[in-house]
This record gives sequence, structure tokens and C-alpha cells, in this order.
Amino acid sequence: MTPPSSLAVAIPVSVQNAPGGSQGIAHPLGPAAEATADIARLHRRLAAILADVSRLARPRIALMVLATVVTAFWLTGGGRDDAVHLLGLLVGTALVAASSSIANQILERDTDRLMPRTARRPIVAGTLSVTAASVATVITLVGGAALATLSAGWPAAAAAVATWLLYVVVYTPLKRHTPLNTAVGAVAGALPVAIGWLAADGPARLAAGDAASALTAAALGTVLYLWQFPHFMAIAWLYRRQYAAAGLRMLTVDDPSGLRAAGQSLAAALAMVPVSLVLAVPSGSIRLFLAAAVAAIVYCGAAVRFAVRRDDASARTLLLVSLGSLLALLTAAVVFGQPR
Amino acid sequence: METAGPNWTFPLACLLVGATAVLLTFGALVTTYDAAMAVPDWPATYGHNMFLFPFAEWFYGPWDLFLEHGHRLLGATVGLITLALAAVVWLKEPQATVRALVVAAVVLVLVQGGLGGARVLLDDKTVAKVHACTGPLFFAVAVAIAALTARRRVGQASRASTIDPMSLRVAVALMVAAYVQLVAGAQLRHLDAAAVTPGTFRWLVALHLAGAAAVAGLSWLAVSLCGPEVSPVARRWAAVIAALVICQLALGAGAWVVSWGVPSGLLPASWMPAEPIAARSPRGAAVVTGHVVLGMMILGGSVALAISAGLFAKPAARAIA
Repeated sequence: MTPPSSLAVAIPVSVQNAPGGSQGIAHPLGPAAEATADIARLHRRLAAILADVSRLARPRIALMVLATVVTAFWLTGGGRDDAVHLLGLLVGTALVAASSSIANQILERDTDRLMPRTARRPIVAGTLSVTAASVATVITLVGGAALATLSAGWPAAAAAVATWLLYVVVYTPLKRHTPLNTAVGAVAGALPVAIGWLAADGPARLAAGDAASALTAAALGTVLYLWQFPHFMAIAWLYRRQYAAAGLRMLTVDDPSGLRAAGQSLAAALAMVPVSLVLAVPSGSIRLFLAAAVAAIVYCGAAVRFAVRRDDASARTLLLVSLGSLLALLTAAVVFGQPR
Repeated sequence: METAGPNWTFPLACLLVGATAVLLTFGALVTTYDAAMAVPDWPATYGHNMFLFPFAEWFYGPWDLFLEHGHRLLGATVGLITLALAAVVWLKEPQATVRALVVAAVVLVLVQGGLGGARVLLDDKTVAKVHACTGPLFFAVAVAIAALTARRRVGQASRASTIDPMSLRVAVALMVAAYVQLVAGAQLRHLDAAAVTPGTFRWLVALHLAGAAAVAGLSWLAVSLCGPEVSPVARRWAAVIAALVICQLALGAGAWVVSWGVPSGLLPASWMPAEPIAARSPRGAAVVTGHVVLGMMILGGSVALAISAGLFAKPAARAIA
């Protein structure tokens, strides 16, 4: 691995070492061909940078977090007048989420190396030094928290930082020690609801007697908490051999029969049904009620199938259904769930 | 793995199923008689600790107070039975599925209690709908626990000798359809006169009718598929469900007439905010409440059918088919 230089902070090592990086040699086919080759090299560099950034920041997880923040903000009664503040909050939250992902990859680089699904992450692959990653962690965390504070006030920013702490300081190390890590990690996954609720002045609304929006925020947080059990148990089942090889104590490693993982998935999916329906309370929307019922019932169905079969196909279905049902639920909440 | 000594799981689960059935009937009556706000505070009853409210005042008091306070007492009883069952299962039960279901039951009973309180404190129709949809789900879980522990008690007699994937699929689909039908029915039971347009009402009625057709079709399929090769318990459940569905269709028609009069077409032209539910005749109230309760019994039966048809059977047993 190339030793990290000061340049490595800004540019991944793979890009610095990319083919065609040598300077001062004329192209044999002339300047036009040389320009074309330069453009191709630039494309390759950009693609490499984007791939590394994507693996580092995990934008799909960040998008899910942002969708949760928006839904909580909307259901609490945050309006279009706050769009600029909301946008600032979302960018800030995305930066904090990216920071937690980078910090997680720094802490787990030894175990990531042992699992094919994570072996291509930039720190493990040697395309980003630990120092550079640490600097990126601090910059995105501080920048994100500052932006969240300026846009939505310190309580929302504090909730974002609390999520970061829980994910990085508690959940990540816990994965090596106990299968209870999912129960702790799921709290970090549900906390973005608090960010949206606090940004939309949830406490002030509650003090003014608006109990319905507080109930809904609590329900959304509980939905997010429960939703993660089947979702992560499906992942833990699909990658159980890799987790075992890396020494990570997922439930499917401790109990290879999958019975306990399937049981937790089933219990959480069943409990999620009524809690999802509560999302329709502030709006009184029949459409949201029925959409939430369908999403939760389908999720239950996939959890039952996984509990019955406990194979890769049913785990894959459960994983897909988990994403689809949450997306459907959050979309329905935003479209139909504005409080009366 | 079998545990030594007497196993109280099955009797306790049966007690839970029975108590829940009575609780759900009381709950359905509370809605029929619009008695939910008969006690305006929660968790207290008119300032008294719920359990210390004077017996004579409750038992010989107004009908709506009898229903609402009785519903609360039954709810507390079901909660206690659930906790006792959870303790026994945690100590004695080896089946991971039963353990998971009992955890779900504890969570659901706590959520349901909170929803009941929120329904009173917020006086909100949507909370009432959520409460109405959670009750049957809890009932289904209780039936599943009883069916799974019964299966082990009676050994091979209730197991499917071979699991027919098609009858299992139909049983599971029936279970889902029966629950969806209860969710759709709850929308009609807890209509908000101020917020629902005639168009939405017609759409909800159409959904409920389509659900009825689906449940009827699936129960007929279940009877046809549960031949001699399927367990006798499954065959019996399929027959019971088919009989219940026939009664339910008749009660549904009756509930329609009681609620909206004799239909002049497939769907009512519009929804007229009719006389208050409390003013219904005892016979009308019995028809409407019976329709709800029977719906829950069909759900419970379909859960028992699905389990006796092989749901949650061990993978080794599944491989036989």
C-alpha cells in the first residue's frame, strides 16, 4: 500500500496511481487522440472517486435516514414555509450519516477485510488511508452538526450527534461481543425520527396540547425500530458465513439454525402492524391507514415465510420486502399524512 | 426437545384465547353502542382505581358504563393471562416460534392497552380503528400459540401426514384475507361522518365486498383441497370455517340492512348519517356485533387451519412433500 501523503487526504490513492497518470510523454497519434485519451482517463478517475465515495458514505443508507427525517418533520406538522431550513437540515444530517459510515469503516477495517461483501471498501482496499478517513470523519461530523444547528436549531443537531455516538461508539464495537447488537443498532436507526420531530418544534407543539403529533412521532420511531429486526436478520442470515469468519456475533452466527433470528423477525413484524396504523392518527386519512395496513401485512407475510423456510431465497425476499414496505409506508405518510 | 413435568402452556394459551374472545365481543359491543366515552378518564374510572371501582355501580349501572368498564377489566385480565403465559413459555417452552409469538403477544397487549387509553383521552376515531385492528391480530397470535402447543401435545394426530403446499398456501391466503377484511370492516364501523365523502364510502363498501368474495372463495378452496391426505384436524378446521363463512355472509347482509336499509343496487348511492348507533334495536345491535365477532372467529379458525396444514412445521416435515 502506498504510504499516505498530504494529497491522500483529498484524493484517493487509487486515483493518484491510476493508469495513464504519467506526465510529459507525447501521444503517438497526435494531440486530438491525446485529448480523447485524457478524457477517458478523467472519466475513469471520476468513476473511481465516485465508487470510493459511495462505498465510504453508503448513500442508500443515508437516503433512508433522510426519508425518515422528512417523514417525521412532515407528520409533526412542519410545513412548506420551512423548506429552506429543512433542506439545510437534510444536508447536515446526510453529512453526519456519512461521517458515521466512515468512522464505522475505520473501526471495522480488520473484520471488513475478512468478508467479501466489505473487502472492496476503500480503507480495506488501500485506496484511502486511515488518516484521510479520520479527517473526513471529523470534517463531515462537525460540518453536518454545524449545518443542522444553523438550519433547525441545536436540539435537532444534538439528536443527529447522539445518533452518531450510538452507532459508532456503542453499536459498532458491540458487534464483536453480543448478538444484542441489533437491538442497540436499531435505536440508532430510529433516532432520525427525533431529528425531524425536534426540527418541526415537536416539544413546543406537545406543550401546546398537540398530543397526536407526538404520538405519531413515537409511532414512527417505534416502526423504524421494529422494522430493522426482520431487515437485519435477513442480512445476517444471507451473510452468516462471512460474519462468522470475521468473528462478528450476529444472531445467525450464535444460532446457525436461524430459529432465533426468524423468531425475532416474526415478533417484530407482528408488533409493527398496529404501530404502523398509528401513523394515520393525526391526518385521519383512510388511504394512509389502508396503505400502512397493506405494507405491514406484506412485511409480516415475508417474515412468516422466512420463519417457516429459513433459507437464502426467503431471506432475500424478506430483505426486498423490508425495503419496499418501508418506502411505501413513508411515501404514504408524506402524501396522505399531513395533520388535520 | 421435550420438557419434563406438567406443561401449562397449552391450557394457559386456551384460557387466553377464550378470554380474548370475550374481550373482543365486549369491544365490539362498545362500538355498536357508541359506549367508548362512557368513562371519560383513563386509566382511572371516574377517578377510581380501575380495579376498585364500586362493583354495584358498574354491574347495575347504565348499559354503556357496564360495557366500557367491563371491557377495561377484561382487557386487564387478558394482559395478566398473557404475562403468565409469557412466563411459562419462557421457562418451559422449547419451540422458538412459540417463544417469538409470545413476545409478540406481550408487545401487542401492551400496545393495545395504550391504544385503548389513547382512544379515550384523544376521543379519536382513527385511534379507535387502530384499536379495532390490533385486537384481532392479538387474537390470531393467541390462537397460533394454542395451536402450536396443541400440536405437540396430541402428537402426530394433528400434524399433516404430508404437507400439501397448495393447501398450505390457500390456508395462509385465507388467514391474510380474513385479517384484511377485518381492517376494511373497521373503516366502515368507525366512519367519521364529518370527514368521509359518499365516494370514499362507496369505495370502502366495494373493498369490503371484494374481501368477502375473496374469503368465501378461499374457504371453499380450503374445503376442496383438504382431502384425506391432509391431517384430520385441518379438514375439520376447513369445514368449520366454511360453515362460519356461510353464517357470516348472512350476518353481513343483515348488518347492511340494519345500517343502511334494504339495498337498491350493488352499492349504496351515498352514505346518510343515520340515527345514532346507540338507538339501534337489540336485534340490530346483535346482528352488527355478531358480524364483527364472527369475522374474528373466522380469522382465528384460519390461523388454526394454516398451522394444522403445516405452517411452522419443521423443515424435515416440509421436505416430505
